Amino acid sequence: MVFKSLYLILREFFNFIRGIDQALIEESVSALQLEYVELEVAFLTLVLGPLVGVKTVPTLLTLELLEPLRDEVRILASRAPRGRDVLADLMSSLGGT
Amino acid sequence: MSTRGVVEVIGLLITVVALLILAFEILYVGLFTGSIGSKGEVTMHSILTTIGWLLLLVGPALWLGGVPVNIKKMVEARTGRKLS
Amino acid sequence: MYVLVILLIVLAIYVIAYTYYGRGILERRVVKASPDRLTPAWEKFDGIDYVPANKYVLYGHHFASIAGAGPIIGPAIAMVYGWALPLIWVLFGNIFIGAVHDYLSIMASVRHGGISIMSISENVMGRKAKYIFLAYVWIALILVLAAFISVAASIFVTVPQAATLSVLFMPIALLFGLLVYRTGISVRMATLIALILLVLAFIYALRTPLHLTYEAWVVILAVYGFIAAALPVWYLLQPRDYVNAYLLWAFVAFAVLGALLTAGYALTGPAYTSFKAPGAVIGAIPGTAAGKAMVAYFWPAVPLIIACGALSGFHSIVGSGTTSKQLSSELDALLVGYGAMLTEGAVSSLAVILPIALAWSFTSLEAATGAPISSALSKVGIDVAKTPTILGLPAAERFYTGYGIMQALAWSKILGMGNFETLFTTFRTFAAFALSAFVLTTLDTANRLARFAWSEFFDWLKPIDETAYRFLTNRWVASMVAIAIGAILAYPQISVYVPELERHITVYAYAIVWPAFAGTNQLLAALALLTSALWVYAVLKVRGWISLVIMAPALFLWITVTAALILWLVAIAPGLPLLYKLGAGTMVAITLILDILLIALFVYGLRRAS
Repeated sequence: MVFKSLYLILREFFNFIRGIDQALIEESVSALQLEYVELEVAFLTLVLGPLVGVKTVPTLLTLELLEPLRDEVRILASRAPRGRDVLADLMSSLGGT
Repeated sequence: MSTRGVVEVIGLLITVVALLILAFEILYVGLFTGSIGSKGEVTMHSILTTIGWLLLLVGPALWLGGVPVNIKKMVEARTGRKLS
Repeated sequence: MYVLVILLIVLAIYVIAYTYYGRGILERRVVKASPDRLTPAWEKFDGIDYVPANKYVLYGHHFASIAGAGPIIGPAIAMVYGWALPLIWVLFGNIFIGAVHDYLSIMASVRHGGISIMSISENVMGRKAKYIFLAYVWIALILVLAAFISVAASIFVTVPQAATLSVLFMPIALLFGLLVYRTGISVRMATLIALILLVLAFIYALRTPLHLTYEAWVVILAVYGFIAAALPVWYLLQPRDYVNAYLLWAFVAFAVLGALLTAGYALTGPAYTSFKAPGAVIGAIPGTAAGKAMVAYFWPAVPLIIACGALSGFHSIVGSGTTSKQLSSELDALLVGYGAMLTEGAVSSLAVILPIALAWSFTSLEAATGAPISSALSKVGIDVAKTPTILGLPAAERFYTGYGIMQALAWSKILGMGNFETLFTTFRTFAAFALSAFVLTTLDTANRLARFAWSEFFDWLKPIDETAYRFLTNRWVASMVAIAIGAILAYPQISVYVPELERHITVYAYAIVWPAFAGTNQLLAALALLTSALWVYAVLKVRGWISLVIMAPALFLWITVTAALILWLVAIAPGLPLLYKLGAGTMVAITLILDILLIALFVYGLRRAS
């Protein structure tokens, strides 16, 4: 009984250490992810602009690209309500202050 | 030469200069005199070292450009077209 | 009082607080967290922003984001009150205010679908709250830039070996990034190469100091901050942060091991010196009337000193960022939010308060342990006859000297007392370098964030004057404004002759700017905590004595910080040099005016909800 709980505690502790280790590595990747997201949003805004009345590229081009960009449009739509609320994302992704 | 090309060459030059400065300071001055600069003063050696340091941050960025090779490979694989 | 006793007390109090207060009251009674309620990570799952993550990984993320140089400088300054009062504030301020603030910010964000605490404050307190938030964030970031540039410059002057190591560290991190991203070498191999080079660089740096004046370092670090904030993220920031992670691990591991190995020693520092301290502790120039006047009462001045060790407004933003979008279950938030902050308090106690309390009186420690402390200190320029206690050193120096002594004592038990001096210089340089590394990462991060907050703040200008808006929010302008103000505030180093000590002491800019930064940071925390309290009261509709559990700390914090900042403006600011009266003084005055607006918004929101 005692051994079992000791084993469980030790296992949790090692999961804990492993988790922190992974987090420390991921932490540095998060900053990259941020820039990737920025670039992606900029690209999508450029390509899908005509749909919201911003003439960035010929409208026919946008309509043609709509089908292959279906996943990206869904993600853009889920990000839209957050709007300019990116300060928190920035702060937690850049890490360390 | 395109603007991109000029920027790359400038970047390469800056990197080389920076590496030379740092190599001189660290491997020669530091190793043989035991310190770089002197306490409480701003000497040529320490200024040179820090300038070399700052240049080393800027040079490779200009030279090697913006796209990391892994992302370039990923895009080339996905689209089948070679990127410049 | 033995090191071991403090260790056990800190551990015990935090474990009890986590179990009974965190889980029993916060989780179960206030927020009523339930594993059945889907978090945004599941509800809005999209594989990119909203992805459920393992709770230990999230804990590590949150802890790495909040750990830095803040919990080091603050408690080091506060040691002037003896070690008991700072320890009590770090323990109980953390348990009842700081960690609660972190936890509630995450939970409020989770319940609001993953939006940040800034938007939540806009929801519960009105649109003005968003601008107060942005103003606080920008001011806090500028002041943190000023304080940290000054700290790093002061470290490089007193420990020039750390300067050499920092100059070597950046190219190594750069090389690592280039190896992984441009040549495709595996991360493992690149890490190995980088770590080996780092060890070699450390050995080289120990024998080769790099000397420059304080002012020169301020300018160079400002230029560095500006450049680093402009470079692409994959190039420098990311590899550097990755290597820094190993540094953080090593730092914490050594702190824990050091405390365990020195467990049997008695602390040489007094538990309690006085409840009052001279104004110099909260930023006045020593030797002036304001500097000597005993105005810095522990309460309310403590938020101006110990900031991030016990409570920090930045954490609320960090927690309501990616953390809330990746939380897998509501029950995980306790470990991630409450737990990570308690861990930071524990690190602060172990790595800062404990070593300084142990190494307080150099001569008594030497007598008690037989270690050649005086000669080790004289080798780094500290004359034990002139500075008999660690309080005679500036704050940052207290930290790495104390850390160095504790580690040297710990490891000389195994390696022999003959190695004490080498161990001392090695670990002192290591601690100084670690502190400067944390500071340097914050420099360019703070610059990037300040740039963003500045642009966000001016969105009201766009419909009025498009050209002015374009110019002001241009990324180079915004970046330059931030770092320039920070550098100017960090530039002065003031040499004061103190007749009581019969010598000159150097007052670095960070001693003057730190209270302003800490105060603004705590006001930001007060804003976040008041938002959470209003959310708990108005949206969760928690009434009765449970709601007091949140309301009381929120109001206590607001009253304490407001009183502290008024004290600072009235007693300290008038005596400061013109640069700081204009710079830090105006910023603090603005935060105080906004502060009154904040409490008005809070009270209004409260009445509307009742």
